[in-house]
Amino acid sequence: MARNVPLPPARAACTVVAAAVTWLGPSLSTTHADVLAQAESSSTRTAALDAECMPRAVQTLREDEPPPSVGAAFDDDRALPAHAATVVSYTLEAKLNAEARTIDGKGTIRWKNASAKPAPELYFHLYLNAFKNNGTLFLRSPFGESRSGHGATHWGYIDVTHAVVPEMGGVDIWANAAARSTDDPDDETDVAVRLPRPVAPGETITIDVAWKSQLPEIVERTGYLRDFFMVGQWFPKLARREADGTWVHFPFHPESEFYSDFGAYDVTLDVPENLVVGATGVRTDEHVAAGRRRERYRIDDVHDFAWTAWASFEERDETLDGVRVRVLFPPGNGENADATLAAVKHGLAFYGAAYGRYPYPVLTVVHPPEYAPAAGGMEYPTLITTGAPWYAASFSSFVERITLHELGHQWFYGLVATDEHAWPFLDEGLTTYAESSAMRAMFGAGNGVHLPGLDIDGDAYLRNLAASAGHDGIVARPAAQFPSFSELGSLVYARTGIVLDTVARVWGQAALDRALGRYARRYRFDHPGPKHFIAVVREVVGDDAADFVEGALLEGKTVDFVAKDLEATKTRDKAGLFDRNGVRETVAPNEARGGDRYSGQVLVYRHGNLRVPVDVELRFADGSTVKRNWDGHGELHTFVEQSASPLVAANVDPNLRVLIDDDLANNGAVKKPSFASRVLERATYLVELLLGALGP
Amino acid sequence: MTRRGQDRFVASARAVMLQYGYRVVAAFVVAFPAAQTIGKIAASFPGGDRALFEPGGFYLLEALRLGGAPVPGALEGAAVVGALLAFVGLFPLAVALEVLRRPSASLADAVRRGAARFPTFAVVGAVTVLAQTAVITLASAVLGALPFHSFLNERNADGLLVVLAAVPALVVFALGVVEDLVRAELVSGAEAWVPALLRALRTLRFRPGDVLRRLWLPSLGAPLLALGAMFATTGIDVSRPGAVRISTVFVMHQLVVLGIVVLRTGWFRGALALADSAATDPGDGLAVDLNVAMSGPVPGEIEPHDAPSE
Repeated sequence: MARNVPLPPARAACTVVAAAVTWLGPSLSTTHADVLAQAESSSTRTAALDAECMPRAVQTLREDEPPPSVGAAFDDDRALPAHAATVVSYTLEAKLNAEARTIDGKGTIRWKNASAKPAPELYFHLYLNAFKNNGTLFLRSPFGESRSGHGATHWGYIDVTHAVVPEMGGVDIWANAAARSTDDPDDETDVAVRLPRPVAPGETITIDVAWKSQLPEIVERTGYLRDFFMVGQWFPKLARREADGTWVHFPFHPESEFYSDFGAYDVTLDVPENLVVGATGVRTDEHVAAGRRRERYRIDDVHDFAWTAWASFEERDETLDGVRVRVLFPPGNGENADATLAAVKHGLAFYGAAYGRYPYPVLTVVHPPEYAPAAGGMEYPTLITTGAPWYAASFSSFVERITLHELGHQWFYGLVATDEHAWPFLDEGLTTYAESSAMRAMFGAGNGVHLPGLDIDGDAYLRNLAASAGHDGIVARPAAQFPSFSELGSLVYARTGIVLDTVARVWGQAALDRALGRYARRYRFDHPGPKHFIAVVREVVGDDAADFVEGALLEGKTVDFVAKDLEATKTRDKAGLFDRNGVRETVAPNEARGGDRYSGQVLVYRHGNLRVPVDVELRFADGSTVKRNWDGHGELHTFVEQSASPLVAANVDPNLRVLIDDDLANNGAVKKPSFASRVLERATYLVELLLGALGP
Repeated sequence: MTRRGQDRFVASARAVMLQYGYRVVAAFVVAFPAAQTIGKIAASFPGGDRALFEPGGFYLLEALRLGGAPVPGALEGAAVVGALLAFVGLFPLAVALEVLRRPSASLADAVRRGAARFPTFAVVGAVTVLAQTAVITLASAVLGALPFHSFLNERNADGLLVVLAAVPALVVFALGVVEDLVRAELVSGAEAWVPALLRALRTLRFRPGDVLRRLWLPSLGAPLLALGAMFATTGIDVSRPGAVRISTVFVMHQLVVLGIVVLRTGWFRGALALADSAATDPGDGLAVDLNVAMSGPVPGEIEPHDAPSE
């Protein structure tokens, strides 16, 4: 079904050449840390990054095109694109007024019309306007307070003061900016700007822009709280224009994340001297003068830029797997910082091996203060935020889990830049699966909860979430279409993760991991959609697995195996009247002669319309078992077994492969239910202790 | 062993078995319906309720998910029954104290006396629970209002709160100790709970060392026993087939409960000795220090005037 689309000639050529030519600087096997380190030390970073013979991602994928065949070349890092095609680049300066919580910004945006059609307008996302009043799409939503637990208490906004395009005669195009979002008259986060003339395909324009941002008290992800600043979505940000000339723009919805083009960021931050700053990219310059601190951050091949500033940050710095990892954390969180570094070390190696090496030289991890949890648990390119109480790392693996989740987003969001607004499962769902895999590799079966005598796998919790939302809707739909964040969480995060885990358990972990690796490498620095993902699963794991994933995620199909009507009877010799050779014979019943053989039968139903093969274990009275497989075709399969001992139990999916099964409690059929002695023992002991502690 | 020694041993054994027996039965009554509810869900899992203990916890969480409606109801019912049985448990406790107090008396007499003590024990229990609740409520309000987080970092603020919370926790614990001393005073002859309370407070005030000497082992021993059992049973995988493992765990757990009851019975022997030494002291109770060890002289040696003749 997949159509084979050859690589563009330039990339095909460079794939071969770059593997051999290492003296230019980076080879494809060296880490990107080496690339930037060499570039910075010789002041030729831009030249090095722009080297012609580095494979670059191309952005030609469209949802209506048949997904291309990817091929085994992307099963390892040799064909990995080293750089993104630069579409939009930002050179910005931001001055923070810490008392007023404002940012005065100015800079230059260079945008290339990479589509096939002229662009008569631009679309800017002004996300901070989501917090301008309680009529915005974000704040009027009942879920706009979900992270902070309250709505906005101090409004935030962004005012663009001018946007001049020199290529168009120096006209201030902001005079033609719409005052409101395109489809929402109460919202100002998605603004169209009409241009004096269309931007031709392939043409690049420069926009000299200035703006003022008032940061809100943190409602979700961005703003200030007391003297802590977490600054995301803070500048006028161009929407992404697809190859067919369609702008992908949307007002800021509380359940939605983002979608942007790749490019280079060069941002200078000017903050009070006492603040410790962390930001996307590599800190290339730092000056302190007149009570102000100026730090310059640069990075290529990313699609967003966030930063943080707080006087009380403590810092750990370590180079892991060639990446300079910087952890910023509140005082008293030393154990959390250690756990974070351990998780990052594990994650860089684990994800790097599975999904292609981490290409950037830096990673900044921000652990917000406890009073600002709404800033935590978020991903930006080369910067992630975590968050947990100071004692979390001492008693649980939560810090590692949240770190591995956000780090996983560097691949599924950062590098494979899917449309988070339209297809949140492609970033959150795949990241959840990646996180689960990484956690299991790090902590084993007790990666969720590990107590004496009790190991809970994180996937067990995810399975519960996924099963509870099993019939409530389609996973693969836009973020804004989910009726609640808990619904989005159950379907997008949990159900996607469990569907993929089911694929791994049924069709093979190695096959699924190879598929995800191929997908992540092929679409690095690209913007694939669901079909591209399904196509790679089909290519690597097979049609059955791809149909399963497609059904479970795109079509809302479900499955519930049910075992019932278990019967076991003695096999009897033939008895009755028989006409043989014209003579009627009477054969008397003789149970004793057939009494040492039994015929067992159990019915296994597949409820739901999601087909998946499954094992069925048949257990006999003498303790012996046999395992049979059902390919899942049809709605019912009758298992009949002749045996020396009567059939006493049948268990569908005894090895728990089909995690997406709606109900595990109907997977077994037993002749005689056993007494729950273990549960009674534990419960009695627990009550005995409670009576001793609380009783007389 | 002397006759008196034999009587004391038998009395201690009776007191232990009374309390342990009641605890086992009460716990079973409380646990059975909830266990049955979960057990029904687990009946169709591979291996029945063994699956609930499998590493990974998939079936355990599934049972809790599917038991979303019946399990909380069963647990609420268990809590109500548990509270009722905890209250009724004052009766076997009173009988056990009577047995300890009068080792040579018959069990029937101890039961009769225990029944007579029950109402007063109930009042003392209610007063103690009220006092402990008041302390916890007040401490929660005060500690919650302290503004540590505004000038200390999270860790130091939480650490300070924990240190400060230890004070009301100790008060709650001390109230429980006072309750036990009051029970001992009542069994030793105090007519009503108020004079018993005053005598208990006097003992606590003037003989804190004696109280602590008798208290430390049961206070520390019980949680240590429970913790030890938790780690000891970790290596026994009851998710595997066979009755040996679960039987072993059952025996270990019951030994722990029995050990805790033995320790608590030892504490009550000491509390009774303190009550009796204060009762027989003509002065303020300070002049005589019986120096009673856990296994030392017991109040049975001091037959009060209302003790039945053998």
